Amino acid sequence: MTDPRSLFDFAGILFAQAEPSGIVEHSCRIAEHTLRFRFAGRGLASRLLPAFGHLERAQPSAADLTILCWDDAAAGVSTPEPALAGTEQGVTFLDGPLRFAADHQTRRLEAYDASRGLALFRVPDHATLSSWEPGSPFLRILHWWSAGHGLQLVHGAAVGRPEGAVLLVGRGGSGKSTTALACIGSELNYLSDDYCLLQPGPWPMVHSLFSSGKADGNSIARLPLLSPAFAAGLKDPGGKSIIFLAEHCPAALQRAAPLRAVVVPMIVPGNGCTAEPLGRAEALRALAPSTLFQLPGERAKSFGAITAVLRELPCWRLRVGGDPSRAAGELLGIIHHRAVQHAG
Amino acid sequence: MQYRPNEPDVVSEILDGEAVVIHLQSGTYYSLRDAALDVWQGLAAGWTADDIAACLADDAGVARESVAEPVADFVAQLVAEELVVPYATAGRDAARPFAPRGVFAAPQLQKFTDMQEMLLIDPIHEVTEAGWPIKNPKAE
Repeated sequence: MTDPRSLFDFAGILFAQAEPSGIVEHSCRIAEHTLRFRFAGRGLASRLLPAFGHLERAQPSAADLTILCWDDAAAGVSTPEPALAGTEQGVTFLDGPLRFAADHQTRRLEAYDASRGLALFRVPDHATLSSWEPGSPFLRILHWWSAGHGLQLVHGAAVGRPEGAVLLVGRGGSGKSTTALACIGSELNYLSDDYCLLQPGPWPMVHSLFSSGKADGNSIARLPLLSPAFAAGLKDPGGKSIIFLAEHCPAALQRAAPLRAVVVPMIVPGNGCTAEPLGRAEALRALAPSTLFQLPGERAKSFGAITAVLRELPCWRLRVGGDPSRAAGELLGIIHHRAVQHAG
Repeated sequence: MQYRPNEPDVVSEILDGEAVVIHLQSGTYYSLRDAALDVWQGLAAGWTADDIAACLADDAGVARESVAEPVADFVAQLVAEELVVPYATAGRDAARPFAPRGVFAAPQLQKFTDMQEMLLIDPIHEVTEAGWPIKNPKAE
């Protein structure tokens, strides 16, 4: 293959010639947009769709983004491979409205054509899909697409109530996932533990993207409500377990909320939990680099979107001890503090 | 000599008295506070290192010679990190770009490299007119 645009032609033929009974369709709403997934093969669909199980179902007719997904083994095809030189593990190319990413190790290909609202996702065999993938599928594609629709995909967790939510930010191991998961069973609902969509503006919004939750052994021990689910969950190579909360506690999930504050958790000794105001720049350092360098392309634009949100919000440091369930009370106080400020 | 932020490879934002500067190509990011922030704002406003040093010295009531060297060293560090590039402009902002602090401490560049490995995993190349899949060496 000399040009990734030929991959779109290949996919078009593949789906046009596929038996209708072999196509799995799923459409859902997110941030007032419709995403349509089309899978040539049930195996891949069964692994990647559960993450979207909490989102409102939609009619596929007016999709803002259509993702064509297939694995060569199930579809019975041999997808043309890009002739990429180099020793990098993965590579991303930007070409006008086209975005294309290839991973040499897994031979995964992802492409997005902004001019058509069409994306492609291909792996050689769904059985060899990375075990982390079902927890946050189509991350690059959703990043590319959202950047052109007034949204910003960020590396952060979110919890809240209908009147407001907080975004928990920090690099891996900072405690944001454990803190978010520990809020299940409290007055706070769960939007995300790792990635979510921000909608910048004078009144920024946060939107849930995936219903997944991830935790390692140490965290699971501190999440008694979820530990049985995690015990039976998928395992990723890093030792984390993945569950889909829509299957275990759907009432605890929330799809969107006005964003009231950005919170940077920090794991501390002891069992207490305290919050204190934090400079916005420190929150920016906790959020922007880990977002920008995980997601290829649109980095300057993403930085602008992230800073636009941070300018509008107070930021807090949350010191979380060994009992993360105590975080919910502090976070609720932060949300209501901001809500009172808005009301005033 | 005048310098400007090395855009588009570098993005930056000043919030609550701290500049966060990110080099998008290297994966390195930086925090600039106090005099470092003043120098950053001064350069962005078209001031030279000498202009900035003179202003900082006057604010702090110290000899300009004692400020000039640390400011020059700091600007050299910004250049070495490719955060700023030489830039010739007709003039500079007349209004002072930073508030007086009353004291001077040598500017410090706080550097973070914990994200660099992510770029090595997934580098980005912009396709040039040469076509796919020729990598644009400037984008690497």
